[in-house]
Amino acid sequence: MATSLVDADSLLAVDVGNSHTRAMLFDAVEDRYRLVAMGVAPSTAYAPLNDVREGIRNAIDQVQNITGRVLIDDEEQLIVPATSDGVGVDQVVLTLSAGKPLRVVVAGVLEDVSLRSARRLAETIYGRIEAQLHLNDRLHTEGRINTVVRARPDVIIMAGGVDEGATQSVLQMVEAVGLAAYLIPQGQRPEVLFAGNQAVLSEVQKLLEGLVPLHVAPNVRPALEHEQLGPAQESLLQIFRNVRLRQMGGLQSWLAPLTGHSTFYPTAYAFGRMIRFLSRVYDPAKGVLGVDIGAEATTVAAAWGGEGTLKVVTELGLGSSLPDLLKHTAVEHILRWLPMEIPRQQVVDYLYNKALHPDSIPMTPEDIAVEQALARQILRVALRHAWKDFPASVRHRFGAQLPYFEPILASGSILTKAATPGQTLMMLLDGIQPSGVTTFVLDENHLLPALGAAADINPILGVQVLESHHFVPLATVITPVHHITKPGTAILRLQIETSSGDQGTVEVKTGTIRVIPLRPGQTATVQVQPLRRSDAGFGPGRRGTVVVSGSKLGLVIDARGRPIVLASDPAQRREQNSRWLNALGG
Amino acid sequence: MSVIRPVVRIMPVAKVRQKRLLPVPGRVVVNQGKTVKATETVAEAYLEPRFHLVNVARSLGVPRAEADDYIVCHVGEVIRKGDVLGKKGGMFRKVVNSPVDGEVVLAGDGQVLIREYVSPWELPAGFPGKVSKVFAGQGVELTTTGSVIDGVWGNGKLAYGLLYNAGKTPDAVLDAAALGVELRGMVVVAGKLEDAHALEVAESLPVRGIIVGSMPASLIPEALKVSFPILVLDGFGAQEMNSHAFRLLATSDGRQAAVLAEPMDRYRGVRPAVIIPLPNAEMPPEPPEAVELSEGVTVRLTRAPYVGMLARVIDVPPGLVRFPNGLRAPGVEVRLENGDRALVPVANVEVLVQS
Repeated sequence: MATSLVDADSLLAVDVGNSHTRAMLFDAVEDRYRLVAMGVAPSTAYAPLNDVREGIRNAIDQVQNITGRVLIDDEEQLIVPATSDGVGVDQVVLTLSAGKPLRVVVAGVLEDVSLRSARRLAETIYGRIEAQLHLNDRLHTEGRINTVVRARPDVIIMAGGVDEGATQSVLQMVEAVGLAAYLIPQGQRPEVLFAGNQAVLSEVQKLLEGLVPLHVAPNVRPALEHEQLGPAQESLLQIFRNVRLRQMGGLQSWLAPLTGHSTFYPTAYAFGRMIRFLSRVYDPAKGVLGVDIGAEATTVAAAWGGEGTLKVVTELGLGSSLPDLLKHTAVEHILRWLPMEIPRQQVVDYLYNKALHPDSIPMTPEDIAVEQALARQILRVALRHAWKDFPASVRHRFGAQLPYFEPILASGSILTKAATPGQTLMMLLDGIQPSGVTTFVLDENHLLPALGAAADINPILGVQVLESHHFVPLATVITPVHHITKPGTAILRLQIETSSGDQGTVEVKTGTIRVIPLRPGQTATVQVQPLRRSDAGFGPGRRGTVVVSGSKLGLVIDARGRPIVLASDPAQRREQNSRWLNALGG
Repeated sequence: MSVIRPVVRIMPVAKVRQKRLLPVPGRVVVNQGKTVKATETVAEAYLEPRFHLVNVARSLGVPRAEADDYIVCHVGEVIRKGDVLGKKGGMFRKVVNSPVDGEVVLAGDGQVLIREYVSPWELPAGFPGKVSKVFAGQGVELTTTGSVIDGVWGNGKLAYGLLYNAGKTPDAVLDAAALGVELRGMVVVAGKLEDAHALEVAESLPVRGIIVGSMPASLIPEALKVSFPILVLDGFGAQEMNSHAFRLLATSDGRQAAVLAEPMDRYRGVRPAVIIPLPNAEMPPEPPEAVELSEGVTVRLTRAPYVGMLARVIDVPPGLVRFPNGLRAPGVEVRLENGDRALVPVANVEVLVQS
């Protein structure tokens, strides 16, 4: 997609994470947008500084040092907009994932209908659901009041009643929330989002306005079979901004002088927005998947033809929330991914020690193996959560199997900074377990959120940076789905012709991973012939042709089946994990 | 570019500043500048407030719209259990009584909302000192002079008592056999904890507190149940206590110590610690909150293969360093206590402040 710049505005993207703060300067170079420079500094959102500005300043300093461009004036202010002599920047976007998850209370009428939608909505931001209220919670008004007051919420999301449906039960819930809010001291009161039956809107406003900051949005569940989170998500974004501006030291004062030239989003939302955008660009028959393993949360964004789902799981991160992983999974499910013998207790100790030093880096082979096993299991659990929100039509078509995605974008330093591309792909294959034909792409510099946040004010930038070399193709993977349990059975035959004219035939057997190197810049036409009615993405037993572009690893065939069945014997299982990793180059 | 790292305090004599914060918003009950004792309350909060909604209209059998005429209490009124909230005269006299002691916070629309009176949870100072800062609604910062050792994990409890060194070496295990009756009421120091049985015995004595270098993470559920504080100084697993902390605690045997086994909270800057007040120490240094990594700085290493070890910085090479395992990250070269040199990621060191 070639685009030409008419009015090239420079843009500074700042991402404040739990561990690191990044500053990225984008500008037009030879008539196309490029990432000009990036600075990374430790985040300072926490004690002892409790002020994001120091980390932002340090990251911008690095950009200034690299480029020689002056971005900050003598009064320590970011120069916006840029002057004619190239000082400063025209636009600024801020993405933020740092901070304790927002405390959320969700309320609905029916547990499996409106409450579920409210929960899904809550899971699109960095939040933790502290309490849930619904018609059958057996709490009555008094119990609900106490529940809300004790939850000390930052935000209450209220849904319930399909349009032209229940009104009384919705109002009962609103009344309880109103009474609870009244009892919470001023200054600590939550923001309330009402996204339920619109017929009671005026009464909701009468009950809550003046008591709490009230936001109203169209019904998230206008009909039993119809869910619409989009408009309410926009309101929730504003609430997220309000809460963070209030809670996070230095944020308000850093953004205030940039009014009119800046936007501010949760990192996960901006990441999801970019995935949605990409799903309009790529094959509409498949979805686009993005996964981001962070220090305190894991984000899964999936989209089909511009419509997407976003799941932010704040209990799944490789930082201080790591022990929470054990609420979602058994230790044995982590141990199963290890290529070497490491005692169970040592793995549990590892989780807790990592939580104490969230930005520390594993150095020994054992620690690296544990950390990468954790990443696999975090992906498994996060995908399991996210799958429930995939469109019903997709879930029905694919059942428990992951839908076809092309491409899959991966972010987070555990994935992008692994010592070898083989280790990265191993984590992604085991954790995601894709099927059919897919390409894995690494967002090594964590650019997707910046581009997603900039989409409002500079859509061309996203398109052009995506076309640049900053996104690193890792591998194109063909995964035949089959039900053959016997290892060593021929399952796929490939005829390959590379752009340089080399030809060959490869037969792949069950239980193996095979790599056919294809360097960046090369392409290959691959005729895929499934054997024994396996399905490589073209239908059971059906052949197909794919054109594969070169990448770090090239073409990879994962013939281990879906789901991957590991040996029950621990020694054999370790040997399997080790053999598969070696197949990818170690 | 300078590399700033967080500090861990292991200081024989220092001006110690320690935050004492409520777990939920509440009320600070001391003023800045006040000198407090270890047991003195500095702030209080209602951890689990209880509200009661009394439906006067329903109890009196009148429509909600009319019920307010029968409500006889008013907002702000302090009431006792059994006090009349509403009544209706006539042939069939009816009365609605308060179910609890408390205060009326809302009355109207046929209902009365009562905040039940419960005693607030009190936050003690934890150690004798002076209130150097007040964080409105949250807590205080206390300052004293004395020894301080930062830990990494605490079970949420605190105590003030005499230190008793139960192990002769930093790797001594605190097992049930080591917990004799002479340890009753003592703050017991040992290299590591290994099993839950030792905690049961410690509870039965009971001890005043336990300070160890490490314990298995699987002991956390049991550690959270005991009535006394447990403070872990170095990490989870079976590592020995770091040599500086062990020496300092060993030489402080028999002194009064505050064991503040609060959970680490990096958002609020709270970290568990043991504080040994030395009120007569003169002009002790005040530890910095963060320190630039440079030659000569002492660090504690947080990851294998050097976890818990102390070392001295030799060099901080600029930019990224490629480590033997292929990882690239900012690095620091250190000399370990045994004389060996090691190159470790900057992210894997904490600066040790000793004096």
